[in-house]
Amino acid sequence: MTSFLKYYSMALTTIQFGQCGNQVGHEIFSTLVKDIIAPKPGISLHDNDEYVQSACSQWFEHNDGLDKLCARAVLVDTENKVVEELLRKQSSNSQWMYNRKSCAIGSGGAGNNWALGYQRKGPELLESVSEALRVENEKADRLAGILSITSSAGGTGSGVGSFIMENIHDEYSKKTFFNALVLPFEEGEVVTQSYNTLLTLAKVWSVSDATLLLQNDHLNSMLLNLLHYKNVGISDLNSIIALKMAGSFQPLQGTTFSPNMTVSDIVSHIAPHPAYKFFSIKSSPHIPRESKKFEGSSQWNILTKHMRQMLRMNSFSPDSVAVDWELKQPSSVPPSMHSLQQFWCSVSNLLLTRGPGLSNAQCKPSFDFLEKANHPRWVPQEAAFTHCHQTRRFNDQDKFACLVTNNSQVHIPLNNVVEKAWKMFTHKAYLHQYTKYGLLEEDFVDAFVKIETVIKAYRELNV
Amino acid sequence: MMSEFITVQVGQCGNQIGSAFWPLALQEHGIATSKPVSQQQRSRYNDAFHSFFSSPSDTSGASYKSLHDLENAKVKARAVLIDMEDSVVARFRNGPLRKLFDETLLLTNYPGSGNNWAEGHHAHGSEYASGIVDVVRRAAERSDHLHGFLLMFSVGGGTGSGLGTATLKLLADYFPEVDRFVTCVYPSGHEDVVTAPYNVMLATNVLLEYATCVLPADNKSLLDICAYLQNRKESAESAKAVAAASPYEDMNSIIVNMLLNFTSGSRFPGSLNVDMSEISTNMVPFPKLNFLSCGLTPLGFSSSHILQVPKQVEPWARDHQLLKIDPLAGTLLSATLLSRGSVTLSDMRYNVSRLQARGRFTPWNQDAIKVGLCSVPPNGHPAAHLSLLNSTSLGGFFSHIGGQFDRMYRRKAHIHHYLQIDGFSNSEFLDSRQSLYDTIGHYQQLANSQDAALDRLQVM
Ligand SMILES: Nc1nc2c(ncn2[C@@H]2O[C@H](COP(=O)(O)OP(=O)(O)OP(=O)(O)O)[C@@H](O)[C@H]2O)c(=O)[nH]1
Ligand SMILES: Nc1nc2c(ncn2[C@@H]2O[C@H](COP(=O)(O)OP(=O)(O)OP(=O)(O)O)[C@@H](O)[C@H]2O)c(=O)[nH]1
Ligand SMILES: [Mg+2]
Ligand SMILES: [Mg+2]
Repeated sequence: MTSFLKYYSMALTTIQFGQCGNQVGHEIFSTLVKDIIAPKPGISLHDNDEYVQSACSQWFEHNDGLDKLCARAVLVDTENKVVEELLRKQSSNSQWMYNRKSCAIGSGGAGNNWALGYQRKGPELLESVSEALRVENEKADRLAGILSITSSAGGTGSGVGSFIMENIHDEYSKKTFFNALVLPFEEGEVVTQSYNTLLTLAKVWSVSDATLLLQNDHLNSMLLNLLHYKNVGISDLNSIIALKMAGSFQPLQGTTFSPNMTVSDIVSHIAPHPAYKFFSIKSSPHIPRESKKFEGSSQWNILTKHMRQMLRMNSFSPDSVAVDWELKQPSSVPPSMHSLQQFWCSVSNLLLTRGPGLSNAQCKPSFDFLEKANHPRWVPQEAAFTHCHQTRRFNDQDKFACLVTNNSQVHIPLNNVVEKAWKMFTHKAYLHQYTKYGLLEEDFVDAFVKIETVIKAYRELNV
Repeated sequence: MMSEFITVQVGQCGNQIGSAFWPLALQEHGIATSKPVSQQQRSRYNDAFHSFFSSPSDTSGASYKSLHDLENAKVKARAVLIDMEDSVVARFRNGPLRKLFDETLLLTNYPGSGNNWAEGHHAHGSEYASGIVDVVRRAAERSDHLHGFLLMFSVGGGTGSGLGTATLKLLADYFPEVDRFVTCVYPSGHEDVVTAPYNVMLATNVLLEYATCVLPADNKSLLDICAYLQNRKESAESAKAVAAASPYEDMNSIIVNMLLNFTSGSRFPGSLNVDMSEISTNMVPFPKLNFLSCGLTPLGFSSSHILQVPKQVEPWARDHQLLKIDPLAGTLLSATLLSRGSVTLSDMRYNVSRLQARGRFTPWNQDAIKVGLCSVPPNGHPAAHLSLLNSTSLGGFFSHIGGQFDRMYRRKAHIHHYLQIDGFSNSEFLDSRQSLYDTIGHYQQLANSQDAALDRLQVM
């Protein structure tokens, strides 16, 4: 292997905020470890060692003195039950652990109230979070950046998360600063979720380089419609999130036909313009928890074709997603290519494939397609699409593909949030709950303006 | 680190609810008071023990199996007991749980408040203000993360109604950061307290202003639920138990089950946790709209009277409400569904869509539902569901209170008992009445509110 193909070992520190952030983060680390120790990597021992080294130093404290991998993570919450439960769980599961000293825990919760989290609980926790973060970062040789994981609907992840990110941002301004944000079920989970989500979106928009949006509704549909689960638990949603994140951010590999990319590269690639910083990850294939093997297609060209279909929009009603290809198994039936077909306009797409046997020639039609897919004119062709590959089997699967995509479809969920928040706001409902912690009506208006601007920018990509 | 709660039990009713509360709270933590308790996995959650109990040593709740263990470890209930007559509190002093209560947290005096709100609120309220503050402060000093007060009293009599609401004001003053949840009992209308309409109206008004949230129960509803449970043929066992027990005991354990479910998310872990601090953010869209209609499934008196969990979970149904209203007949401003035990996310999504199909939500928030999943079931049941509904039907409930008051006040019946109390004057009747009718007006306005949202902001 020539030197340009080597991995860059860069460390990433994760901050898990609130119930969702902590539960999701835990599932991500568990998935990473499962992938790292998977028995059949499908590549040479030497190559696998390199992959493992690189993955370990990215996500874990890599120290010979430790008999377990120790996650490079800071755990933040305003109540102790969630974190206690995770620490309890990991004492029995023995492959990895959290550093107990890297927890910053308050009490009482943030009451599903962004203002309580942002104005009160955030300032209370800032010092201990910064300190824990500094300790984690000092253990890393080279810090690439910081990933924060939060939900948008509660009070801690949204409010405390926003406050902390805003306040540590300057200290890490040279590093990659991105987050994963879980959007709530639209049909009601937290009554004030639209306010909390709006305020969070506006803050992360300002402080982070890019934000991965994850929709609980969509994840739930994948489990019900694609995997045919009868009963979905929160942990099932998290396992899909974890696969998407690990599938995108585990080490890639430079090959003769695809470049090497670090997490920082991916983030700067996917958000090349400051007006477009929201992205999502489409992934395939997913396998039900009971069955060991995926019985569908085993060809790369079918899988890559399937991935590109995920950019299709419903041409009859552009504001809804009628056919969602992520809810289907890849199939060998070629999709019709008649002229009515339209695709979401993309600022940037990244296709990440993992597994043996991919030949560039075989998948060329899909790559060509993605390269020429709908892009705004100001994006140079070569920047609009990149394909990266990793020959190693991911998560004990023969093939796994992620399409990291920044496209105009994101205006739909954002628009729903603003629509609902605006209705409540014009009736002044729940405002007293926020103003009592010092948030002003102007602060809401600022957030509305910011996100309306984002929606407009994304929507106009497609006209 | 666990959020801690202090119960404040005032008057006969409040203390009787308390005496039903503590044995069941102990059972939830695996400590038998009379009958054996299913241990389940409770010992895993011994942190939760400290929510309701304090102990001088640092031992975790796991080491306690019996009342005897608690006595040895000097464990005390986080409870403040206030009554102006000694009889009920005296039962605590002599009952099997006597060692659980701290003598220094009891406050009693002879001879009651004579079913007179003004006497409880003003006469006793000013005389005992500093005593009450001291006692509560003493209880608060034993907690590290005091999160809320759970107040319990009736609003029909004099002490609970008058002094209970005076205590509420004191807590708002001295502990403004600590949530104040009130469970109050409304009279059925068939009791012998003639001045109840005055007491109810005056107390309700203080609750609207000073409580974080109010979880009211109505003796009419509680009686109907008891009667319904007795008539169920399939539960002959529990019918016998009901017949044997005193009526208030059964009625009170329904309230207690509601309270235990209500606080479960703050005490035990779950995949979608609901801390009590979240309740008011989700449920109170405007100041003073803080009354919530509570509904339960399964209905039952205590864990020993288990009823079959119905297939269709409908805690929001009219005959599951602790208040005699039909919340779904009005417009729903907000709703919370809390489930404990073996309930999955999919079950919860199913219940959410059923509630959404059945109820009419306010046009400015069609999705105003908060959900919670707690992994620890109630003692003896596989699962339980609690719904909290903020419905404009509550306006009708308040109208009834206003109407009852007006009927008596028009005749100026009994008002001299009130006017003779220092600190009370006729204007307090009038101001309270006005403020109650303002709230009724607010509910009416919200019941008819149209979706007339302004156009969204236009950005360049
Ligand atoms: N996908 C996923 N969503 C979750 C999880 N836990 C909570 N959520 C979602 O997160 C939102 C609620 O926010 P939480 O994360 O519980 O709130 P928090 O940040 O702890 O804030 P407070 O509890 O209000 O202090 C809802 O939309 C939930 O569906 C999880 O493990 N996975
Ligand atoms: N559900 C329930 N209601 C009760 C109980 N005890 C009394 N009540 C009701 O409470 C009202 C009377 O109030 P009490 O609590 O007895 O009076 P108090 O607060 O002690 O005040 P005074 O006796 O006037 O000093 C009536 O409506 C009773 O029906 C009880 O244990 N359970
Ligand atoms: Mg939380
Ligand atoms: Mg009495």
